[in-house]
Formats: sequence, C-alpha cells, structure tokens
Amino acid sequence: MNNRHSAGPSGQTPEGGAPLAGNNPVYFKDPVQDAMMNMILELSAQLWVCVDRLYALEDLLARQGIVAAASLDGYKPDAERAAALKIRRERFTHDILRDLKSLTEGAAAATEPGGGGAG
Amino acid sequence: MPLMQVDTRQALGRNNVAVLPRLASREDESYLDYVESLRSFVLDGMRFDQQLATRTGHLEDTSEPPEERLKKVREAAAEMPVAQARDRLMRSQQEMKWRRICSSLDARRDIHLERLKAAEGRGPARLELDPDFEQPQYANVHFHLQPDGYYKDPLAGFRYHYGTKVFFVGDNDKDQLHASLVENHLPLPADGRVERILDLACSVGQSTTALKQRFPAADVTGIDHSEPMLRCAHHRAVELGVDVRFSQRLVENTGFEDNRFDIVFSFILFHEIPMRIIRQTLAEVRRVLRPGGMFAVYDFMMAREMTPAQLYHRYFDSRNNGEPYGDDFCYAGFDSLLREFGYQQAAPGKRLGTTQAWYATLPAS
Ligand SMILES: C[S@@+](CC[C@H](N)C(=O)[O-])C[C@H]1O[C@@H](n2cnc3c(N)ncnc32)[C@H](O)[C@@H]1O
Repeated sequence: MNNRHSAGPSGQTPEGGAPLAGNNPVYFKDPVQDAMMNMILELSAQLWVCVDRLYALEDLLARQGIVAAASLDGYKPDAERAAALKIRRERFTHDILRDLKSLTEGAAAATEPGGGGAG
Repeated sequence: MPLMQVDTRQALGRNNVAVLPRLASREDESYLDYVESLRSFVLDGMRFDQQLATRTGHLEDTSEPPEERLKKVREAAAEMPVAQARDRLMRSQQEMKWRRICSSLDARRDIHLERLKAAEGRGPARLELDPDFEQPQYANVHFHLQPDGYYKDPLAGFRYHYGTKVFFVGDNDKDQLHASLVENHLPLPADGRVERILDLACSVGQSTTALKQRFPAADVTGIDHSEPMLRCAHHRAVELGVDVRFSQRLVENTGFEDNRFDIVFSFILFHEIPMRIIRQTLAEVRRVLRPGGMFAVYDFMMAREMTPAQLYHRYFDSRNNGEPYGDDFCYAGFDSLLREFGYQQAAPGKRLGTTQAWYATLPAS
C-alpha cells in the first residue's frame, strides 16, 4: 500500500499517546491471511461496482430503449430504486462475508446455551 | 445500530441539504456505498460482546478499574479468532475508503480547487485565515488514517467530509447528527441569553451552521487550525446561505477577549489533542466563556463506563485508526478535569450511544 495512507507521517505520534500501527499491519497469525482477506474484500467491492453498474444499465435500457455509454456515469437512482439497491447491497455483503459470521456469537449460540443475542 | 443515539426527526424537519461534492463517477460512489455496507456489517454483524464478557467475567460489572479490565479483555481477545477478523475488517474498510475517496477527488482536483476558490470572499459566511499560522507539532497525525491528515492537502476538508459520511454509515448524510445535537441536546444557559457562540474545532462546519440555524440572531464563530477544513466549511456555508464566521485559531489559544461567549460548543475535539492541550483548552474556555454560559462537550464515553467489548475496540481504534490521544482522554476522567478547572455541572450529562455529553458552566466570580 501507498505510504501516504500511514497512520501518521512516520508511524510515530508527535506527542506521547498510544503507539500507532504503521503501514500494512498484520492481524492474523499468518500475514498471508491478512492479504487474502483484503483480496476478498477488494474483489467483493469491485464485484459490487459491477452489479451496481448493471443495475443502472438495465434501468437506463428500460427507460430509454438505447444505452448511451456516457449516461452511465451520470446515473442516479430515484429514492425508491436507491432503497431497493441498498437492500440488495446489504444482502450481497452478507453473502460474501457469511463465513466470518460463523465465528461470531450468533453461531456460537447454537452450541453455547445462553450465548449470542447481542444483535 | 446507530453510532449515536440521537433523535434526528426534528432536525431533519429543517430540510437541510448536505453539501457533499459528487465523486468523479458513479463507479466511485458505488464502491464507497459498498464500503459503507461493509462497515455496517462489521459494526452490527461482527459483534462478540457476550463472548468477551463471558470470558473476562465482566458483563455489567464495571467496578474494577478500566486498566485492569482492559488487560483481561486483551488476553481473552487474543484467543478469539473473531476479534482478529473484526480488527482486520475494520482496518481494511478504512483503508479502502480513503484510497477511493482520495483517488476520486484527485481525478477532479482542479474542479474542486476551483469551487473553493470561487467561494472566496463570498457571503453570507465569512472566512478569516491567518497567513502566519503555524501548525502545532502535536497535530501532525493522520487521524482516522486520513491520507495527509487534516491540513496538508488543500482538499483535506472534502476528504474529511466524505470520509465521515461513510463513517456515520448513512446516519449523517444530511448532517442530521450535527443538527440533532444542536437542536435536541444543547441546553441553554440558565438566564437564556445567547448572543455569541463559539464552535471549537469546527472542521467543515456542520455544527457551526446548525448552531446558526437554531439561534438565528446569534453571532456564531467556528474555529479550527486547518486551513483546508476552514475553506471547505466556508464554501459549504456559502452554498447553504448561512451567515457564520470561520476563523483559523487554536482552541487552546483563541485570542478572543474575556467572557465573550454565551455558548462554547465542542464535538469530538478533546480525544484528538494531548492532555497538555486539553488542560490549556479548558483554561482558555474558562477565560472566553462568560459566567453562567454553557460549555457543551460531546466526546468519547469514559473508559470506566465501557463494557469489555468497548474497551477492546477503543484500544484497537487508538492504535489502528490513528487516534493516539484517545486513550488518555478516555482514561483520564473528564468530569474531574472540569471540576479542577472550576466548572460546575449545568445539566446532567447524557449518553448518546457511545458518545457522552457534558454540560458545564462557570459560577459568577
Ligand atoms: C474530529 S475533528 C472535530 C469534528 C468537528 N467538530 C465536526 O463536527 O465534524 C477534529 C478537528 O479539530 C481540529 N483541531 C485539532 N486540534 C486543534 C487545535 N488545537 N486548535 C484548533 N483546531 C484543532 C482539526 O483540524 C479537526 O478539524
């Protein structure tokens, strides 16, 4: 990653305070896992961009009969479509990240009576 | 889950239009919509509050000092894969957000700079910049991982504004959080007199304009040390047609005369300055706030009131989201600091989600 995105200009705090993580911090035991996670996140973001664009395209096709390529970047859904898209987007996010859900307390509740339920 | 539990209905009744620049393409906007959903997923779907509380034996009980509880919490979390996964996702969504915001604003850099330039000298909002201003060393931090921080890039204000839009996961798209704080969670001074208001560290001025909308007859000033923030704030207020003043000054050394203000308002400033500057700022506000005036502070809740998961997330956020001074603030005990500097409680404090409101005043001397 570009070092302009560091936590601080030098990864250091100028005046006391908590030490800041520098670029590319690792959270898993194996840094490859961190990279894999980022790849998946990026992939899913890009895929969402595609889905979103297709949706826009379909809408424009329906409305105009013809697709003008330049009109895609100016596309803005009306309130109803925006709301429908938001629901689809959340569903999409959930589907891709479903496996992580299995680590959370919702899943643990099945085996740990009394657990879960924090919403 | 709302980040701040505020009732935004009344505030939205004002039909405020947020002035947020459109990004370079629909593609960039969909990407950032996705990041916003990802953030929602992490906040709501990746919770492990119960697991952590069970493992540390602390659910409701907050009697043990927070430092001690944090130790246990970190030990327990180190064994929990979900904690690492959440941390990873939290950091990643933040990096993804900034990458795309910056590249998208950069793609139209000239246009954005032109917009700021075009607002120069236009009213009704006023802008005062100090050509000799020197940024303090302690402020040279890339808070929230914002590339180049708050003041080193001329588009820092637009970056910040878009970044906080995603941060509030849709709850502040029309500045409704700021409006609600001002409309519903800001008590008046006891004598009701409100002629001059100071917004400390106003960033892009979302609370500054809301203050003017609630108190149309008052003189409202927002101060910040960052020129790009102030330019963006001024541009925004010009677009909204709100008559407020933005001025480049330090919160700990404002240069205003004694007893000038009836209300001093401060939203999420104190956790971003070192303790030395917090103390100087409390002394400075004591000087510029008139006796009986209202000092309203909204900031991170205190560590001693945090649940195990909240302690864990604060520790993570301070280190991994560019909040180096956040722990000092949360563990210090802001109530006793206020007392130490001679403030009295003007109204009972309030918890708004994980944000705490303090209402302080000064006795007549
Ligand atoms: C988290 S933001 C405050 C948020 C803002 N009140 C809002 O409603 O969006 C922190 C702001 O404080 C400013 N700041 C930090 N230290 C300052 C100081 N010593 N004097 C003036 N402004 C300061 C930064 O430039 C930044 O705009």
